[in-house]
This record gives sequence, structure tokens and C-alpha cells, in this order.
Amino acid sequence: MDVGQYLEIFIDETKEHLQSLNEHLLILEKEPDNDNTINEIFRAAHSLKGMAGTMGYKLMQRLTHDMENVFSEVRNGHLKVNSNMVDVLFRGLDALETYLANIIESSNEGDDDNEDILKDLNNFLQEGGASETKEEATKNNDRAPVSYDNDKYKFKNLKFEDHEKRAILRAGEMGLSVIGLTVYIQETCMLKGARAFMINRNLEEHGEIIKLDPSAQDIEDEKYDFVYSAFVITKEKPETLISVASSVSEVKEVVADYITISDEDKATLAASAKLVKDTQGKGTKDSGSLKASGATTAQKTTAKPVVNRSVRVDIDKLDVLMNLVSELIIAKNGLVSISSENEISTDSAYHEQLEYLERITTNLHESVMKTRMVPIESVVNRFPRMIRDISKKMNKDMELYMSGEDTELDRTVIDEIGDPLMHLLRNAADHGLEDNDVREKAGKNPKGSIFLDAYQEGNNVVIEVRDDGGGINVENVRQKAIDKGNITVEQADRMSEKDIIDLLFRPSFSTAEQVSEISGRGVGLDVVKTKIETLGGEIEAKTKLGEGTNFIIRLPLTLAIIQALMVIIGDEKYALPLGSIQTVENVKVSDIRQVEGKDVINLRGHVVPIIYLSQVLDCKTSDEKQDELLVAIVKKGERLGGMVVDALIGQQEIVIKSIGKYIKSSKLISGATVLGNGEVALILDVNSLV
Amino acid sequence: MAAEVSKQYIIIYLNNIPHAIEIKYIESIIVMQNITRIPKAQSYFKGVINLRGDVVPVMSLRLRLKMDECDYTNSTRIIILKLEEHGAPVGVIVDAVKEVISLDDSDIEKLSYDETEEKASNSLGIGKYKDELISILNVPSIIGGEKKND
Repeated sequence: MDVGQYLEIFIDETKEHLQSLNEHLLILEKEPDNDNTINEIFRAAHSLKGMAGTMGYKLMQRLTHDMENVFSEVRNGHLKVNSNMVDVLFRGLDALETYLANIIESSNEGDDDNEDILKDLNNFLQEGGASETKEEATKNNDRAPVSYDNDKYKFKNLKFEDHEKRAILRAGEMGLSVIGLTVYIQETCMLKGARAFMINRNLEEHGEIIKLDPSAQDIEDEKYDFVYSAFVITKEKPETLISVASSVSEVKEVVADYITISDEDKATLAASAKLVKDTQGKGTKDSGSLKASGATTAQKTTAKPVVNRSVRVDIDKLDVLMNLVSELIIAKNGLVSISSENEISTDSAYHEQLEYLERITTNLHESVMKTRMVPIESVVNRFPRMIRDISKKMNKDMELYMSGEDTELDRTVIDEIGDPLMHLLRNAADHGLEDNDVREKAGKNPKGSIFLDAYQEGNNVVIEVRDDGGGINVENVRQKAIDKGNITVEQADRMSEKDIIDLLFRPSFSTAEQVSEISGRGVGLDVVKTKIETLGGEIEAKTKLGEGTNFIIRLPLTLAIIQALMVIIGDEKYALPLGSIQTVENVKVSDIRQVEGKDVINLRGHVVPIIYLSQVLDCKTSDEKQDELLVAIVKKGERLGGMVVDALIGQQEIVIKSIGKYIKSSKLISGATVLGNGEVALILDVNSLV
Repeated sequence: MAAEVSKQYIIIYLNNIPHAIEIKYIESIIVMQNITRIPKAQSYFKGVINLRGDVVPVMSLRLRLKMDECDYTNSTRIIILKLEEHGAPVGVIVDAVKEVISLDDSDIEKLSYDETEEKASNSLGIGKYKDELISILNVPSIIGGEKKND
């Protein structure tokens, strides 16, 4: 066994601790007297230090040690938190992240010792008077073993085998003492086997472990109940061993004391003849005490499952599962289409089973989707820190408010959405919010606010990035577009405010007057838009001059399987995603009006432009004149569009397949699907037409 | 490079002219299938087919090589090609598939020794096999080639 196999756990936990430190430091900066926060920070820093030490990352350990000292001073009230100090601490966290990045890459922490940060940290300590820290720490250690509680000192109830007794006697002769320990590991610990291994490894540095209860193998296999006892031959004192063992993270408590062999035992050892009988006698006693501890075990297990009942699964395995579900749905669709074509369709029992199968596949699909869902929190939790940094760098007072961090999205979307969101937030911080004095003059709160809200809306997840800044000056954008030659003056006159704002999403259209370090380098909203569209989503901007800007991102909940309306256009079958269709209307040809050369209808008070899909798709059209058209009404944001189709087939669950990168089709085709009869039908992204 | 490197090729016919495709690109050869047309695609792409549950784009090799199209016959085949082992498959429609041959590099007369020109060309050279001259097709260029020109 070596520490290598714990590297992954170490990396995961370090990430968690660093994130927690980041978050709590932000809180601490605002509420310097928040005891909970400082305790939380102290705990995280302490765990980090212990873990880094165990893994042998000395530089990391040293840095966290010094940071911990500062936290400790703050906790004891010797130091006051100020923004300067938080800056240094953040630098420390960044350095730790660099160490971690190195470790992930090469399992080596690198050799940057970050002297400057250490020096700055120690300067704080000198201001505060560091000497008291240590006293405090030792006091803390002393406190634990004061209450002498036999229940806690489980090792005292354990009996030794003869060879163990002999070892203890020999140790005594050599001037070494035997110390018994009982280690309590936090019940939230995920890998108690690994924890115990780390503790034991630390203990072995100070002596020799002669006995473990449960056995070493059981502990390694996690066959114990967060409590175990160890006996160590050592020349150290129990207190030393306690502190050694508690330096490992997730250890709740450690108790220890000297072990001596009773005279009676010594006698038994000498008189080996009586030995068998004697141990039998003890055996019964043993089982008695075992039963007692067994009872407590049982109590604990009943309380445990609340804490954590999750399994980490490789995303690839979920992808395989998802593919299998997709194939199952295609096979099911095949059965459905056979039944509708053949005579078996009259058999009602067959139909019942088919419907049953349909229900199962739909539920199965939903369950698999759910396992792939991840809260958006994992992406957005780094943003408060980012906004703070920007705020400092630009000397602009601002605050980020987030809501709906628990909104869940498919894993593949989560991985991709971080960059676009970061881009929008930076935009908001840089161009969106005015400088503090400008805000004050305009009668606003000098401190700018940025909002990041996530919520579910039907089959979509909506993420809004909003600021209460100056808003987009539509006239400026119009002028700029004309200057750049994107549009002509005549076009500009005819464009609505919304059309103008949409220009911002065109490539290389940055309105920032100055290029700053934060944003405005020409790689702009068009990149954000492209990214979101590849995820099957859409983005829209709303703005009000003087009041702020709102970017609204809509993302589909699922990526692989959707409900679709199957239609016939010309002599081809197409799938329209049901999510974007509002209604399907029968429209009389005589009701169609012409506005600026475009066909529109008046649908219950809304003017809806008509799009003839057969023309857009170059389908063969029949020459027959029809009195009525079948129009699927599509809604995109505020806008409506009417798609003319020739016939409806019905609603169907379809599996989206990519048509590959080689075919350069219009954006209109978002993918293809295999129908029940083996035919391929194309999926139309009708939103792109509206 | 060793002088005698032998590679295997499949001989296909287009307009009664033999062409060769290196065997490492070939995933499978299937009979003609129902093709679903893709609107607004490049003209030589005929559409997509269902290949064992996967959607695979299919191009007409005749159109791709600027020949006239002809009707499909009983001998028309779709050759499924892959550029990389785990890459996306593409089908090409050919008039007929004849045989597998081995050609040494020395049997192939290169048309051009200019690297960049070679990449853009649809033919890697002319192979001499028995008494016939066979154009060796440049598969990467044919499948993904026209991207840069657009």
C-alpha cells in the first residue's frame, strides 16, 4: 500500500476545501466577526494542512500552516480582518491552487516556495503576537483527554493474545511503553479505510503498532464502524500520539493512555500449562464486552444512512447507459410502427404491453437523465471570487447576487456553460456597471449590483445575467453598426430596437470604447452565442437605458432524447421539437395578408409571419391549390412564427443523432433521428427561422 | 522510408474507370440504401443513411470528382470510410467494387511532389497494376477537403 492510491481522494478533497475557503473568506471580508465562518475556515485550513502533510507535500503544508496561524489569530481575536489581509490570503489560496494543479499534472507539487506570501502572512502574525497561538493549541489538545470516560476508551476493554502480551512485556523490559488509542472518525467520512491508513502511517512514524481492533485487513476494507483501537509500542507520551493521530482530517476524536499488563497476566504467561483454561475464561468475558459494543454499533448504523448514500460514477459509464436507453427507444419505436402497419394492431393485449413498454422506456430515460444532472452550483461558485477580484482591480464597488444555484443541468451542458457565463459576468462588471461616481450622480446606489439567476421553466433551464448599470445605448449601437458597415442607413431606420441589440451578437462587434484587461477584445458576445447554440440553447438580450441590461440564456434540459412532432413536408418526414411548438392551426389561405411582401396571419391578435417550410427546404411541392394550410406556431422568446407543413404524423419520442461534421447544411437542421421503420428523419431547428 | 512498402487497396469503378482506395480507411461496404436528403448541403452529399442505428452522411463519389451522375444499379455500393479509428464515418457511393490488390509504393507514380499541392488534390498518384493504370484516391482530401476552399 502506498499513498498513490489516495491521490485522487486528496485532489478531490483539496478542491473542496479550497472552494470552501474561497467562499468563506469572501463572507469573512464582509462580516469580520462571524464566528461560524472563521471556525469553518480554520477547519478547512487545518484539514488541508493535515492532508498535504500526509501526502508528503511539504511546500503546500508549510503554506497552509502559516495561513492557519493567521486564521487562528483571527479566531482568538488577536488579529482584525482587513481587506489587505484577505488579499494576501487569497494570494495564498491561488498559490495552493497552483500546487494542486501541479499535483494533478505530475503528482508533484512543484518547487515554487511562495516566500513572499509566507513573509506577508508572518508580518500579520508579528503584528498580532503569535506566541499565544501555540499555547492555545496545546491547551486545546489537553482538553480532550481530561474527562476520563471508560466508554470512550474502548481499547481498555480489549484483551490481548498471548504473543501480544509477551510483546508488551518485552517492550517494558526495553524501557518502551505501550499506549492504547481509540480513534473516532467523523461519520461523514467517505473513505474511512483510507483515513485509518493515514492515521496508522503517522503513528508508525513514532512507534510500532502491535495490535489493531478490528484487524488491519478489516479496517482497510472499511469493515469497521468509524471507531477503532490501536496499540503502539513507543517511547512517546499518549498526548503526542493523540496529536499525531488528530492531524489527519475527518478525525473526530482520539483518546489514548498507557497500557500495562496485570500481574495476573504475567503469572499466566509463566504458567503456560494453565493457559488454555484461562483464555477460555477470558473469552466468555470478551464476548460479553463485545456484545455491549455491538449494541452501540447497531444504534450507530441506524443513524448513519442520512449522511451520505451516493456513489461516484465515471461519466463515460453514464454515457454508455444513455446510449443503451436511446437504442431501446429506437427498438420500441420499431415495435410501435410494426404494430400500426400489420394486423396485430387489432390485438388489444399486444397494445397494452406496448403501452406498458412505452411507459417504462420513458421513465427509464428520465431516470438516466436525472443521474446525469448536476447542480449549476459547481460552475457558478467560483464567480463571487471573480467579481471581487474585478471589483478590486477596477476600483469599482460591486456585488454579485446569485440565486437558484441548485438548478440542475445535464453534465455535458454544465461542463460547457462556465465560459459563456463568465464572459457575460465580466461584460456586466466592466461595461454594464458605471463607475461609482457616475452612479451616484444618476441617483443610484453607488455600489453596482450584478444578478445571476437560474431557474427551470418548462423543458428549459433559464439563466439570467442581469446588472443595474447604464444599459445599452441603442443609438450608439445603431451608429456603430452603420460606421462599421454592418448595416446601411436605410436598414438601420427600419430595424426595431430589438433587432439593433441583436447586432451585438454578431462577430467582432464590441462596443466598448476602450479595450480593458477584463473584456472588450473583440471576442465577444458572438462567441457566447455560438457556444450556447451548440448546446441547443438560445440567448437574448434586453436592456433599458439607465436601468441595466439583462442577458437571458435558455438551455434545454436534455440533449439526447426529445419529444417531437413528426410532420410531412413535400414527400419527406421531418421532426419538429415539441418544446418550441405552441399550437398547430388550420389557416384559411384567404386569411393570409401581405405585409411588406411577407405573408402574415392574424392569430388571436398577434401578427404571425408565415414560413413555407417546403420552400425553405427545397422540397418538391404539389401544384394543387389548397384552401387551408396546416401551420405549426413556434415561439421564440417574444416572437412567433408560423411553419407551414403538409401533414401531421403525430407526437413521438425521438433520439437525436448528429449528422456529422462533414455535411455543411444550414443551421436549420439540428440533427437526425432513426424512425421505427429504419428510415432517417431530419430534425428541424425551427427557432432559427423565427 | 523503406523502398518496398506494400499497401492493400480496394479497386472501385466510377464511369468504368478503376480507382483505388487504401484499405485502412474502409470500415465496411454495404449495398445501396434509402437515403434521406439533406436540404442546403453541398451538392455532392446525397444525404444520410441509417447504418445499424447510426446516422451516416453519404456522398456521391462521382459528383465529388466532378463526373456526371448516373442511375444506381445492382452493383452500386456504399463504402463506409473512416479517417481515424474513432472518427465519424462517411459513406461514398461507387458504381461497383471489384477486388483487393496489393501495391508497393514503388508501383505508384506520384503526380506531384509538392506537399501542399498533394494535400489539396483528390488523387495521390497513379498505381500500376497488371496492365492497368489506377488512380489512388486521396481519402482525407475527398472527405474533408473542400472545407478550406469555402
